[in-house]
Amino acid sequence: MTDLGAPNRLRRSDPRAAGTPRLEWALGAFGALLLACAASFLVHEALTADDRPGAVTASVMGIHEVDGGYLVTFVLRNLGDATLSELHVSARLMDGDEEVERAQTVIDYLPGGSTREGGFYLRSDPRDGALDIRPEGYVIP
Amino acid sequence: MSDASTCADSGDRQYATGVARAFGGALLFSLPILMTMETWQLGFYMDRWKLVCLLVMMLPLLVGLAYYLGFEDSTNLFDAAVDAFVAIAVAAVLAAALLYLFGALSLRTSIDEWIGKVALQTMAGSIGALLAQSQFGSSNADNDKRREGGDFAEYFFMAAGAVFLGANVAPTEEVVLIAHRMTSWHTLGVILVSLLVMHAFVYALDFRGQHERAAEQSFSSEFLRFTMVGYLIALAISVYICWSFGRFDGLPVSVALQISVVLAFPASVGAAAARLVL
Repeated sequence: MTDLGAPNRLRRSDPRAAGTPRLEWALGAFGALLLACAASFLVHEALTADDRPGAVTASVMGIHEVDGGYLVTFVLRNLGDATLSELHVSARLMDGDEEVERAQTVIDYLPGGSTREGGFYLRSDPRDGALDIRPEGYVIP
Repeated sequence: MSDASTCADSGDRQYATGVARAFGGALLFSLPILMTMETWQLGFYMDRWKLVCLLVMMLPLLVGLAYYLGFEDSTNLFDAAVDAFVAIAVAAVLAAALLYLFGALSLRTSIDEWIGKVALQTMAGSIGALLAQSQFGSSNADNDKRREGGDFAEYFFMAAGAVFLGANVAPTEEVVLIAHRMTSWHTLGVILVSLLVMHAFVYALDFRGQHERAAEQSFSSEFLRFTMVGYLIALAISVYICWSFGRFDGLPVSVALQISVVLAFPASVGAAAARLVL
């Protein structure tokens, strides 16, 4: 009896003896899965990216009346693969061929395949003319 | 039978405490870069191949740390690998949750951006998660493995410390800015100060865990074997991290070297501190 008792007590005080806890297996497998998924996704991205140049489209989300003028909110979408930084965007309010008003803003970063939102403040009602929102230039980070 | 299942349950409960501690360690180690804008930006614009390489290189580092430090009493390399994956899981979950909380990630963010941002944050966090087990936890007995590892273990710890502190500082734009401000004399000065600080940290400043110079070893032998080699490890790791982060793009070799020397300063302090702390 005493021969059995001693190793038993030893075993219980030693966490290893109970085997690897199930939680450890679960978390370890989860971590391995995360790493494998992230790595394969990134490799896939690297292989399939055909380095399409930044192609930015802008669309107006809404026009709001604010104190002393109008706010035009917009969303920019980068359809290319390259990340654009310091992206200058302008809004021109046109009346026929004549430029009525112009506003500018800068987007810090617009990664490939993602969107960023912003707004322009204008004095005249943008609904009275044609509003042209377009990207002007960027640098590669 | 019931005895065995109680055993497993108590093992699970004990382990859950360990996991909670790992979250604490991951938080402590990844907060500085979690709250640095440049690391978020690197997450989406850095080259995908380089990011994958960094991720894959982290694995042997974590497995080695787990093996030498005995996260949850790892006895063999397989146990150490499981521990490394647990640390990755903990750090990734923490980084994703906090970046979401900080508004750096949202449900409308592209999957590419999610993976890039979380992957970068996981690097520092997973080291923290591993160390939390061995350093802050109720550690049992001294680590014998470290002594078994000999010089190689020392170099390994130095590399881990260099990666940790280097990766913390590297994303900031100041590294490049400082390099641009320095002349060749400044660069030389930074190299000398790095070496001096490294040696002083380990042998002279009476920190807990200070290394006694073995009687038969002369100053120059210790200096060459550990401080000099340690500095070269820190410098090599700095070059690798800077290159991964695209810090050398479009720059001549001389400036790239200056940038590496600047980053090697914190990396070498990390390497020296790791020898004391780990």
